[in-house]
This record gives sequence, structure tokens and C-alpha cells, in this order.
Amino acid sequence: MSMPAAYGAGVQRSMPFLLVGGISGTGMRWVVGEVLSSPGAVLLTVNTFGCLILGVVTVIGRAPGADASGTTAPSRPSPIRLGLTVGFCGGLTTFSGLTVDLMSRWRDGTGGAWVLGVSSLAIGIAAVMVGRSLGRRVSWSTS
Amino acid sequence: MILAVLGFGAVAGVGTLIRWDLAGRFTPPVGTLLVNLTGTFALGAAAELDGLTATLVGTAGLGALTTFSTVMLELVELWAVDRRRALAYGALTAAGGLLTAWAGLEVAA
Repeated sequence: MSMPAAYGAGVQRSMPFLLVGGISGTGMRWVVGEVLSSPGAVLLTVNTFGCLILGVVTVIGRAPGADASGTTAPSRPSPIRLGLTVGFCGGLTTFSGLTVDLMSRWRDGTGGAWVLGVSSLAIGIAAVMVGRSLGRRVSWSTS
Repeated sequence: MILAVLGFGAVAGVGTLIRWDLAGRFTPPVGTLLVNLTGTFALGAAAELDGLTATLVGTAGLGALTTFSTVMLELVELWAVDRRRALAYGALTAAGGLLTAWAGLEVAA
């Protein structure tokens, strides 16, 4: 697999962090799926926690305003940050699981599609904002 | 059991790396949109799988390939600089996700 040029020489250093983060996040989503019986509860749990953690990790230790560039990924995230964001949070949360669950509910008439869809979006955005606010607070208190 | 765990890790790792690789090839948030829609179609098409195969393909592979948290973060960050782009991205993600899920489920049915 060829690597995107934008990531440059940091690729080899980032790869282990991405793998560890991605595998543990994905594994944790499987564990939550085994513990909680309702698919809707599983999706809301993993997606909310993933959004919260992503919000915290994206801003923590960064200068205020550094993330307001309009491009989401910082241009040169450290390997650890990459492992936690793209790896762990990306693996923990799932978009395909949510949308296929929503569409299955709608097709089968089992209900709950609107509630799950709207609450996923609202809670997900709120969790990112809360996470960012928490992360900034930590950044300031340690600087 | 050990083979299943190793397989789960390998597939989840590959899914994560593909998502990261693709995201780096496009201006954000285009890469996220592409992996999410592709992964959603594939998960819908894999709806009839069960047991270990479903866990490996769906939970590990396609679950790791797609991401919900990045979409939410991108929406929040885009909203701060360009609300129209944020709304367009949100609408494309939602409509595209439901449409590809439907198409995938149709293939599986």
C-alpha cells in the first residue's frame, strides 16, 4: 500500500500507533456489543464515547485556534495523537453499522429509526463539543 | 479461538490503515465521505453473513473502515469556518449513507 505524500517520513513511525489504536478501538466496540444486548444502545454507546474522546484528543496540548483551519486533520499530527484519533476513535465508532441498522429498521418496520438517527447526530455533535471544551481546559491548566 | 482473535486484529488493522490512507489522499472531508459510503454499501451487502464471518467482515473490517466520530468532528470544525459546506457535508453523509445502506441491503436480499 503506497502512503499519501502528505504524511511524509512520519508514516513508518505512525503505523504501529495506528494499528494498536485501530485494533483496540475495534475490539472495544466488539466487547460493548457482547455486553449490551440492544443494537441501538451499542451504537449510541460506542459512537458517543468515540466522539467525546476524539474531541478531547484533537485539541489537547494544541494552541487555541489551531484547529480552526477548516481542514479537520492537523497537518502533522504526532504518531500518538494519530493512533488515538484515526486509530482508536475511528475503530471504536462506526458509521456503516449505524446507517445499515437505521435502514434495516426502516425496511423491516421495526421502528426506532428516527429516534436512533436523530439522537446519534445530536449526541455525537454534542459529545465532540464537550470533548473539545474539556480538552482545552486541560491544555490551559497544564500550560 | 486464537485464530479468530488474530484474524479480528488483522482485519481491523487493515480497515484502519485503508481509512487513514484514503483520508490522506483527498481534501477533508472527502476521504471520510468516500470510506463511509463504500463501507456502508459493503456492510449492507454483507447483511446475510452470520457467526464468525459476520464478526470478521462486519464488526472488524467494515466497522474499522468507517468512522462516525470523524464525521462529527469534521461537521463541528467545518461549521466554524463555512456553514454551507458543513450543511452540504452533513446532508451528503446522511443521504448517501442511507442510500448506500439501502443499495447494499438490496444486493444482499
